[in-house]
Formats: sequence, C-alpha cells, structure tokens
Amino acid sequence: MMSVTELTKLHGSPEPYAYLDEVSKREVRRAILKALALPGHQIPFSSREMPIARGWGSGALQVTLSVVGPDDIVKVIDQGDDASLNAQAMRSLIATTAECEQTTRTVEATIVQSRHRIPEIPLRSDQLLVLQVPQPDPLRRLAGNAATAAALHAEGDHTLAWLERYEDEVRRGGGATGAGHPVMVNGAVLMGPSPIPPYDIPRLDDLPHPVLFGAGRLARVMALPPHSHVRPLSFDDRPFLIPDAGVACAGCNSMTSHRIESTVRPGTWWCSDTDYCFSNTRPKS
Amino acid sequence: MYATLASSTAAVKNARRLALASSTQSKASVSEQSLLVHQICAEAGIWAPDAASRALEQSGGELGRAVALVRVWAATLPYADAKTVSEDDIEITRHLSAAYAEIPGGQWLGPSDEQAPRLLTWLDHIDPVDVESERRSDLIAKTNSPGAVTSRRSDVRRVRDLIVEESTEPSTPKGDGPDPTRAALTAPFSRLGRLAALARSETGALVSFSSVVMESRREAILLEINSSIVHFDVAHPRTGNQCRVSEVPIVEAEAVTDILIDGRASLVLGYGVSLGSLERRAIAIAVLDAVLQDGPVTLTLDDGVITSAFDGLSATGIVEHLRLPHYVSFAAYLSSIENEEDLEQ
Repeated sequence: MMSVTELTKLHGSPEPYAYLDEVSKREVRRAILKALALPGHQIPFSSREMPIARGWGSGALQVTLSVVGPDDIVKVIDQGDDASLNAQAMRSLIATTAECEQTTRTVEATIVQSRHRIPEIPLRSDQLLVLQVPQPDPLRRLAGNAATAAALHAEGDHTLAWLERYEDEVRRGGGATGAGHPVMVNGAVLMGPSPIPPYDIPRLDDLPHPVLFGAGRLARVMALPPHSHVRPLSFDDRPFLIPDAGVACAGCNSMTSHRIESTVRPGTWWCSDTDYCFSNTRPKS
Repeated sequence: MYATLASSTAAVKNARRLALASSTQSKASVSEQSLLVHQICAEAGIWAPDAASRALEQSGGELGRAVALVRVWAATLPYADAKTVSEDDIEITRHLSAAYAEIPGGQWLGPSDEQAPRLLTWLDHIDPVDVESERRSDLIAKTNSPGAVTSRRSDVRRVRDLIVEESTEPSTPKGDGPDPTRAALTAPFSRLGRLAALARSETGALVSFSSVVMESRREAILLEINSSIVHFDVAHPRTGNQCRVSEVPIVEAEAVTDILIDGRASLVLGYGVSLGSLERRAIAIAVLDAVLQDGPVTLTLDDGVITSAFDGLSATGIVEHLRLPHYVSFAAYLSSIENEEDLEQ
C-alpha cells in the first residue's frame, strides 16, 4: 500500500515542473524511446487532457514538456510563423512552466515545436524538432477505420496509399497531393509526416537531428531518429514534384524558401518561415 | 509583415477580457448572455434569451428539457413571414480566416478566450472585469488588426470571393427556404431546407458527425468565420416606421472540402449559420453542408468513432481546430489543383 506522502513524492510538487507530473512525463518518454527504436511507427500513449484544446497541438506539447529542461531554449511556430497566436500561447506555456528561455530565432533554439512547417534554416544535431500531428495514420482515411489500417501497417500492405498515388497520377499528373504527402521511412514503414507542404517532404531525409511527432487527440507519437532514410511515396518513374512560386520573396528576395502568395497584395509572395525571412534582412552582426 | 493573427499580447488580453465581460456580466447563475442560453436558443431555433434562461431554470439545468420547453412555447406563438436581413444591418465583431494569412478587412479576434490556457481556478473571485470603464466597442476595436475600418457585413469582402475560380460554383440559393417548424421536409431536402434543419440541430450531434466526416476527407479548410450582431428592424404596425425589435448574435462559417467533379479535384463550399455565438455549431454545419453537396455520406460506426467522435473534447477539438491558420496546407492544395488544370490545358 502506498502512502499519501509516497504518492506525493512520486507525483512531484503540487505544481509540477513543466506542467505534466513525473509519472505522465515518464510515460510519454517511454513512448518516445519506443518510437525512436521503431522509426515511423505509430506508438500509442495515454494522451493527457492538456490546458489547450485537443487538435491544437496537445500531442506535440506533451512531447515537448516531457523532454524540456531548464537549460533549453524553446521556439514554437505555426505555419512557419512565431507570431501566430496559437504558437505564442504554447511557447509562453512551455517557457513559464519549464522555467526556460524562449526564442523566435531558429539558430538559438534547442527545441523547435512546429505546426505544419520544417524551419527553413536547417537544424543542427544538437537541436530537436517536434511536429504537431492532427492525423498520424495515412492509411486510416483510405482503409475506413483504424483497426483495418493497423492491420495493413502490420502486414506492410501499403496498396491503398499506392492506389491513391496512382489515381493522383491519372487525374492530375502526379506530383504533390497538397499537404502531408505520405513518406516511406527506411524503406519499410509508411508514415504520415503531418500536413507539411510538399516543399518540406524531401527535407525530412537524412536529418542530423531527431524529429518527434505528437498527435494528442489520437494519442500517438512517432519519431525519426537522426539520419533516417525518408522518401516521399512516389513511383520510380514519376518524380515527386514540388510546386515553386517562381517569384522571389517580397520581404527578403529569397528564391529558395517556401513562399505563400499574399491575398491582400496579390502577386507578392512571402516566406512562410518568418524567422528565416527576418534573418535574411536583419543586419549581420 | 506577413503573419496571421500576429501576436499582439494586448489583442489576446482584450479578446479574453471581452469574453469574460460577457460571461460575468450578471450575478445570476444563468445570465442572459451565457453561452448555455445561446445554445438553447440555437437548438430551439428561436432567439429568445429570456425564455431560454427561464427554461433552463425550470428544467433544473437539463439542457434537453430546456430546449424542449422553448420549442414548445415557440410553437404556439403568432407566426410572421420571414424577413431578409440587409447586410448593412449586420455588425461583425469577429472575423477570421484559416485559409489565408491575410484577408481583406483584416483578421479580427473579437471576444474570445480560445488562446487562454484551459485551467480551472479555485479562486472565488475571478479578476473583475471593469466593463463599465471601457466601452464594449472600444474593446472590440482593440482586438482588431490595424487597417480594419468598418465592421458592417456589407463592407467586408467575403473570403470565398478569393477562390471563386477554384471552387465549384455553389448553388447559392436566394430567398426563403422551408421553415422546419412549419414545413414538412421530405428527403432529399433542398440545400436551403437542409441548412435550416442543421441550423437548429443538437450541438453535440453536429460536432460529432462533422468530426467523423472530416476523417474521410483530404481537406477541410475554414475560409471564414464571423461573429456578428444582427440589428433586426420591423415596420411599426401603425406608423410604418422601422423599429428595432432585436439585436441577435449569430455565427457564420464558410468551409471548403475537397471534391471530385467529373474526376477532377476541386473544392466545394459549405455554409453554416447559427443563432448565438457558439462557433463550433456554425463550423460543423459548414463542413456538413460542403460534404453533403457531394451526395449522401455513408458513415461507419466502430471503435475509432467512439474515441474520436463520441468523446466531446476530442470531437470539439478537431472541429474547432479548423479555426487555426491552415494557409500553408491550403496553398499546397490549391497549387495541386492548379497543377491539374495546367495539365489539362
């Protein structure tokens, strides 16, 4: 029988460090370790009710809070933008509860939590990328239900995803499917990389740093350990196409970044990664 | 700079204060402004906040019974013909798009506590909101982005106009639809009939079904969401002068989902409107309207649905997350459609 004192000790202080109590953190960490050991696999974890809405980054937030320490410097972006309200609210929640620094500069951050973009400036091996995931299973929509999809994954049966690529090929000449194009990890595991744009898909390959994926609503984590082999799901004779703006960023003149057209000033394109855009125009010190 | 809902801490604070101001206005346990009252009015299909709070009290807080009380009461009221509201009489208090980073007229936060942490406080006294010292309209103005000059619906461009060439030509019905309280709807409904039935549907059902439907789609993007106040005038029976009889809060949402038209990938536009200010109702209706224009949907009931659609927080989360910016994925989807069009030319 456990005493209240022991329970309290195990649970941590009344206001736990980094919001989650130690037991919950340990569980998320175990899932992360398992995910790193099985790159691309969806690992279930008992997702906690978080102080933000489910589907708003609650999974990635649990991942970040489970790995963050007082020496970390945290950056959170939404669509590449540090100033987005949701990103700002989470950044402040993480920094406050974990008593750590926050930044908007990719180069300064030790942990970058992101919704639907991989930062434009490549991360180093001492940095960590945490991606928010709304729907972790690329087969679920196609198979119609989660149980069938799980069985297909277990059998390595990716027919439905290939069939969809084929239909895309016939209908629209292949190329990108919009955001979140499915990828093959280490040639074996089919993974949904979260709704990142086609531009970011090839950038998942052979990264020097780990990438952790958190889906809070559907209670799954996934991981790519450093130097994972990641390829978009596409036919050998039909290369994966990345649409290009063809117009330089109106802010920093970049021709290589991922750019989005302005609706207020049609014809002008802007980097979706605001820190990258700023760092190009910021005076070099 | 190019940013959606650029974080001005002041804007978030003011949005929260506005939301708190509405919820703590009355000392009574159920104030007329309570969102619960909005929900009862919406599900009853009549804007009658005083009747709704009375019904809530008489039902002991049982929502289903309260809605029934109001619907039964309303069924015996004298019936007037529908009157079309002019867009000049709709005052927008909140105006957001998830599809684009910037929209004509600007992104306005309005009253909202969506970004405030969801933490229960055990303090007896919640930070008193001094609404008297600051006019509501001042607070609303402070949550708006610079450049917003007007809040009349007729002056604010609809976001759907930006994608009109991509989207399917939606059957934009004009005029009165059948009133579900008076007409016998027979399937298949007209789109107007369906929208009328959805507008007074039960909130939980709308959100659950919408979350299930979204699971089977590639894209569901919220083009626009507005909270507005409709100033409703009628002609005085004797003098014929226009008299203001009510100021009705409404939420409007427009969402697009992917659709195949003659084998071509495209978008279909859905519209949702609800009485009151419960945004998830309007978002869910817009998603369902879009999907149903593609024809009937076959739904599966399985264990996955139990965790994702029957769990209120989970279903609400996925429906409300449509409010978050999606402009990167939406741009990617639009570009894949354009890719297809180029191929055909």
